[in-house]
Parts: sequence; C-alpha cells; structure tokens
Amino acid sequence: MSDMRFTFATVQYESGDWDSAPLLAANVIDAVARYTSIDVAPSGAIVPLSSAAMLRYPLAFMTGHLPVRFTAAERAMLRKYCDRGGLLFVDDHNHDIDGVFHKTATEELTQVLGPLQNIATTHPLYRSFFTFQDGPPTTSHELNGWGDNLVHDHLQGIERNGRLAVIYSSKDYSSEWSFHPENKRFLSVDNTRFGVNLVVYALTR
Amino acid sequence: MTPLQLCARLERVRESLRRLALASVAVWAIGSMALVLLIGVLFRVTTGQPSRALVIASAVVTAMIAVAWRWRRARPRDISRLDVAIWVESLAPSLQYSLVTLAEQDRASDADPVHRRLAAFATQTAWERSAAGALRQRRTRVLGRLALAVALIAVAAYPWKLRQLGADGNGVAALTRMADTPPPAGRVRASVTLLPPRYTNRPTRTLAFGETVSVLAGSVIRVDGEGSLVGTALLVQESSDSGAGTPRSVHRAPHDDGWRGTVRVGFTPIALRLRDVIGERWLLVTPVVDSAPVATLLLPDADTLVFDTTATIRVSGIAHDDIAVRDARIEYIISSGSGEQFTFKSGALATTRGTSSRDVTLASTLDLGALGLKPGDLMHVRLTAHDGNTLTGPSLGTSETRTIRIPRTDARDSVAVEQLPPTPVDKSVLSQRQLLLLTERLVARMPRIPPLVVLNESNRIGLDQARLRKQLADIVFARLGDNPSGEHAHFAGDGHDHSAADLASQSTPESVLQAADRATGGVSGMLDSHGDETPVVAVNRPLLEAYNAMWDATRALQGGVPRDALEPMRRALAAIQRARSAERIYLRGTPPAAVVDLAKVRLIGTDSAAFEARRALSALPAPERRIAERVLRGIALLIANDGTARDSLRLVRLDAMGAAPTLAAALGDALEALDRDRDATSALLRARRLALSPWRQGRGNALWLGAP
Repeated sequence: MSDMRFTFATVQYESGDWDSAPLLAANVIDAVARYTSIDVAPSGAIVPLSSAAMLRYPLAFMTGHLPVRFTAAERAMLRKYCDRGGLLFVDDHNHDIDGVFHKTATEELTQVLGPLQNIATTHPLYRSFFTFQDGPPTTSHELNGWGDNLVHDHLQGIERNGRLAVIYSSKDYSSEWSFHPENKRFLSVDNTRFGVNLVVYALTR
Repeated sequence: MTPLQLCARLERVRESLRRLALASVAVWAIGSMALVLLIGVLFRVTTGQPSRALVIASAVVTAMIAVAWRWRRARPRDISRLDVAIWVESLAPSLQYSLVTLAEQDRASDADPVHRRLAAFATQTAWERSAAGALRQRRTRVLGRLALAVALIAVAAYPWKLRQLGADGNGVAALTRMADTPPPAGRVRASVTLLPPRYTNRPTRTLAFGETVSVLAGSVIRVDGEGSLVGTALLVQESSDSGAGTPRSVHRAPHDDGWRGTVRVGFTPIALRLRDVIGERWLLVTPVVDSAPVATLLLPDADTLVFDTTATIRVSGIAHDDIAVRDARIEYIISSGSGEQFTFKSGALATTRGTSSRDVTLASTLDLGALGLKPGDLMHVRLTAHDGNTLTGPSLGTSETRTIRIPRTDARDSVAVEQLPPTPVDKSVLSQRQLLLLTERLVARMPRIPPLVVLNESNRIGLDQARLRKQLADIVFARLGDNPSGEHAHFAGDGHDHSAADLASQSTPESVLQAADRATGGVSGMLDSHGDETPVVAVNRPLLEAYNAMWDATRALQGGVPRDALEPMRRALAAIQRARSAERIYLRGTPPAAVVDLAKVRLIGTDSAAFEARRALSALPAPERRIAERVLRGIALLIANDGTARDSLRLVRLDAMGAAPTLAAALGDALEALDRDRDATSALLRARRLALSPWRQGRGNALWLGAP
C-alpha cells in the first residue's frame, strides 16, 4: 500500500441499508485522532464487500437495519478478508435480537465463518487502549427501551488464528456514535472511546 | 224629604257602589292577568321557557284567582241598603244613626211619624255630598287600577315589537296572533311552522311572514295554507355570495282543506315567498350551523414532568355545546420507546354518554402506577366531546393535549445529542418528467418559432438532460460491485487512494462489460460508454435502460431535433418509474464523506497567519561601510576637534545626500544643532544608527531603527 495511514472503512453490501450510520466513521476517526498518535485518514472509505479493495483495510465496519443476504462474491471475499487478518466489526442498528438484521446477519456470518461466541469481558479487546472493566460499554439506545429492551453484557465474535476476525454487536453503536464529532463537546464522557479500542486492536493483533 | 224619597236616594248610592265593586273585580282580573303575561313573555324572551300555552294558562288562572278573591272581598251582589246606610253614616257621623235606623225598617212609610222624623233629621245633614265625594274617590281608584293594567299590557306587548325588529321572541307570537286582524279579501291564510332537527329536542315554533328568523341548519319550515292551490305560489330563493339565486317553486300537496309545502333549511340564507292575488309575503331565514363542542382541559394545566411512577394526577375538564354534549371523555395515550420502535397504549377516563346538557364537567384521577408507566414513557391526555348532530356530524371537539413525561433517572445529568441534519438533495436538476414536458412544448411550438430559437432551446434542454443523466450515473455507479473506476470519485486526503499496483490490476473495459452483462442478466445491449466516461455497469436494469435512453435523448436534443428526443425520453421516464416501483431499490447513492480536521482535533495549531521571519543584519557592502566609518570617525572627532569634525560630517552628508537621504537628513539635523550650540546627541545617535543599517536596500527595516 502506498498510503500507510489507517483508514476507517464502511462495508457496502448488496442487500440492506449499509449506509444507515453515515456519521459514525467521522466520529471514530475523531476519537482515534484525539486520543492516539495513529496516522489516520481524515475521512473514511466505503468499500464494497465483494471487492478486493477490502484487503486494504484492517478494520471494516458493517451496519444496517434490513435483512442481510450476502452474494456469493461477498461471501468469498468475507472469508478471504478474515483469513488474511482483517477485522469485521458488525453492529446491529436495530439492537433487536428478534430483528431481521440480527437474524439474517448472524445466519450469514455463521454460514461463512462459523458460529459466533461471546467475547469475555476480560478479552484484550477491552484493554487494547482504554480499559473497560465491565466489558463493552453500554449504549443509551439499549438502555432506553428500544429494540429488544436488553442490555447485552457481551459482544460476540469469531476468531481466526487466535485473534478476533469478526466482532458482532447488538448494542447499537451505530446509533450511539452516529452524530457529528463537533457535538462531542456536549458529552461529559466521550462515548466513542471504545472505537479507539477497536482500531488499536485491529492494528496490533 | 219623605222617608220613601230618602230610601230611593239610598238605593241609587247602593247601585253605584255595586257597579264600582264589579268594575274593581274586572280591573283586578285584567291587571293580574297582564302582570303574569308580562312575566311569562319576559321569561320566554330571555330563556325560551316556559311554553306559550303555559304562560296563557297561568295568566287565565291568575285572573280567575283575582276575580274570586276580589269577588269574595267586595261581594257586589251582597251590598244591601243597610250596608249603604252604614257606609254613609261612617262618612257623615252627624246623622247619628238616623239613616241606619230608617234603613233597618223593612218598609219605610211616609205615614209613619217616626219615619218622618228620622227622614227630617237625616235631611238636615248634607250626607249626599259626602257620599258623592266618596263615590268619586272610589271611581278614580278603579280607573287608576285600570290604567295600570293597560300599562302592563303595553309593556307586555313591547317584546313583540322587538321580535318584529329581528330579536327572538317565541312566545310573543301567540299574543300578536290573537291581535291579528282578518286578512283582506283574496289574501291566502297561511301558517308557518318551524320544525327544528330532531336531535336537538327543541319544540316546534310558529313563524309568520314578514319576519327574519335565524334557525338551525337542517330545520324544516312547513307552510300550511288554506284554500285551493290555484292562484297561489310558494317560492324559495337561496342567497349566496354572488347574490340571490333564481326563485324556485316549492312542491305543495293538498292537506286537509288546504295545502302544505315544506322547505329544508340548508347552509345558505333563503327567502320564502308566498304569492297570492294580493301580492307577495316574505319570510327571510338565516341558517345557524350547529357548532362543534368546545372541550377544555382544566387539569393538568400544563405539560409536566413526573419522576414518581406511582403518583396520581388529577385530570378534569369541561365540554360545552350550543345544543347538547352527547358524550365526552378524557383520553390518554401512553407511548413507550423512542427512535424507531414505539409501543402505544391508549384508554379513556371519566366517560359520559347520552347527556342532553349543554355543559358537561369531567373529572378523574390518573394512577400512574396502575397504568404501568415507567421511566422514559410519555403520556398524552386530552378531552374529547361529541355533539348529537346527526345531520352533518357528530362534530368532535378536542381540547389541547397535555403531555406528562416520566423522565429517566439519568435524564437530569445527561445531554441529548442530536445528529446534524442530512445533506440536502440537489434540487437544481430538472426531473425527467419536467424535461419531457419542456420538449413536448417545444415540439408543439416548432412551427411558429424560428429554427435558431428551436436549436437554442433544444440545446438547453439537452444540457439539462445531460445533467440528469450524470445524476443517474452517480446512483448507478454507487451500486457498482468492485469497479472503483468511472465516477467513483476521490479527493485529496480521503484515505482511499489506489496504489499503482492496484490500478494496474483493475479490470479492463471488456471485463467490466462482461461483469455488467452478468449482473444485468445479459442486457449488454443496454450498456453504453461515451467519451471519457467509463462503461455503465448497473445491477438495476430499469435504471440502466433509463440511462441509455437519456443518452439517445441528449443526442437528439443537442442535434436540434427535439421531436426525435421524445421517444427515448418517454422510455427513460418509464424505466425510472419501473425502478421506483421495484421491490427493493435504494437511490441514496454514496453518503457524503465527513472529513475530520485532524489538526484541530489534535490541537496542533490552527494559526495560519503569514509573517516575515526576522533576519540577522548582514555585513555592509564596501561603500556603505566606508560612509559608516566616516560617520563614526566624525562623531568621535567632535570631542577632540569640533571644527574639523563638523567639516568632516558635512562632507559625509554631501556624499550621502544622493544614496541615503535619511542619513543625510539626520546628519543635517546634527550639524544644525552643533552650529547653534544646542544638544545634538539624539540627532547624532540617529545618524549613527542609520549609518550602520542596510539603508541602501531601502527596506522598511529602517523604521525599526528609529529612522523617521
């Protein structure tokens, strides 16, 4: 790669609404720039899941509300991406375990990469930069009665070669982090810090 | 005066007293009846109650009671000659009972000496004058009472006069009708009856031609006429904003001995016209629309926050209607959740049904605990009321909605952060339908406008068509699989640059065409490329068809043949419609990229103001150095040999005048001060500073050194 900067990538897939959290990328980039010295690109990239360009991005973010049905090319590239060291972070924008995104996305991921397992709260992911003693930080969206009305204690993941290749979240970080970074000044505690852990984990494992 | 003559006089007085008593009874009856009628009419005018019959009956009964009471008291038939004598004796005590004694005799006789003496004694007293005066007083009193009764009747008749002027006066019609004079010969007798809508439960009402009345819309006016239909006509004329309409005849049917016609009052004023051989009579009717109930929520009087989910909240309200409130209730809606998922629960409190009252008051208590409210929930409360309008309703009246919010426990120490609004859509692009309409209009005008104008307008539409095609291309390319070429745009620093190796490994146009062919199910004929644009590879066949059709249309338009562009434009529009109605199609395109100002985030400085770096003074070039040395030597010589020093400085000044006028000026100041024996220190310092500065370059640095 000619550009060694970290670029936050949003996965574009054929089915569903892959672009439902348009400001999330800017927010994570802001957090990475704010707390780390990682050389980060000022804006994210949108990469088709079936594209070989996926392999340029160590961390890819995928979200949506609608049913997910991967094409054959997307399945093949996803398998290749994970086998070659990529980390796919999938977040359910519905945060509903009875929702269509959860059912179809987990079904597709299981079919392509194997079953999802709970990620222990002691996992290095939660200490890769900031320390989250209780595991994944809760979101206001799972506390306010939306979706399945559950607070999910764990993220789920699929490992490849001793490292996480897929992280699956039902916590709706897509809603929690999809606001303009300029508005972070209104928050007493930056709720996007966990995004830094994801980036650092993806870059160091 | 003989005893018999005296008795005859007493009889005349008795007769007068009896007539006065009867007149008094009649006056009391008339007066009391007039008083009751007046009271009843005033009640009907103000409240519409009681009924006309009740008022008349009350007046009659009151009159009968007054007659009975007054008859019993005055007893006009029971006045005897002895009563008259006693009454006269009370007026003239000097009679000393002579008249009473004479009256007590059953048969007075002129032959009886006692009777003659009594008559002679009574004759000596002027009792007749006293009796006449008392009778006059009684007569005056009766006349006064009669005048009072007439005045009451006049007052009672005044509301009838008001009704003639348009005011409501339901009950007075009966009075006026009683006073109606018989119609002239040839005038048709007709009665008009108002039948209000049944749901109002209002009584029927008698109207009269010549009136202007306001009635509820939906009421029926019934006209009953006497005699034959021939020679008469009943017309109705509607009024509207544009004036009075054409009169139309009202259907009449024979009824009893006459005829009957009915008119239903709508929502426009009407004039009811009855025409006979004498002329026309008018009844003007203005409709009044039944208004919707007015509901007002009194408690809670404002939106509120309730932190205690077990609290109780009082709710109350009132509903008012011009006819009657049929039902009213306090409604609530509880919404839980937010964002994309909500659950709703609704219910009603304090429901009342079937009322006939114009005002209804509702009150109840909301038990938040029983309703299962939890933090984050919203409760909306309002009062609703229906009237009983079965013609155009029932009309619904609603109060303002009060919101009761149950905040979350962390609501007080958190800040809601909203997203920025989405990027606005480019609305400057004309739609395909608009372009098609413009082209059709241009084709229609072609025979009437010069060819050059046709060409210009066609080109302009062609440019808009090209812009729209590019917009469509953005959408189509945004849905592209792994083809990063074409209109897949990049910008500096987006972190999405393609390496040379990557570019080298890109697909060839042929492979892209093959991929597109596969993606579109073998519609390679619809693929197109033009100029520097890459081939269109779309996964949506209708959009691809539209794109290609737009190419054809653009060519025809820019060639000045708009007629040939119509067909492809219609194809493009139809294809877009098919794409729109497809089962699943997202036309969002690539979302706008938000670029983070990394320097600002990392606080590494944002001051971009340009400034000139300070530079060290360089060594003076040789001529300047020599002048500077001469200046320094001359200044140093001032102490030892003032005259020589002055001459030396004058020479330096002379040399500096052309190349360094500021230095020459400073030296001139110093020499002038020395010649006049003044302090020349500051001028010499300035000259030395200028001599040591790079004055030859003429830069502004001299100002730093204090040069003028």
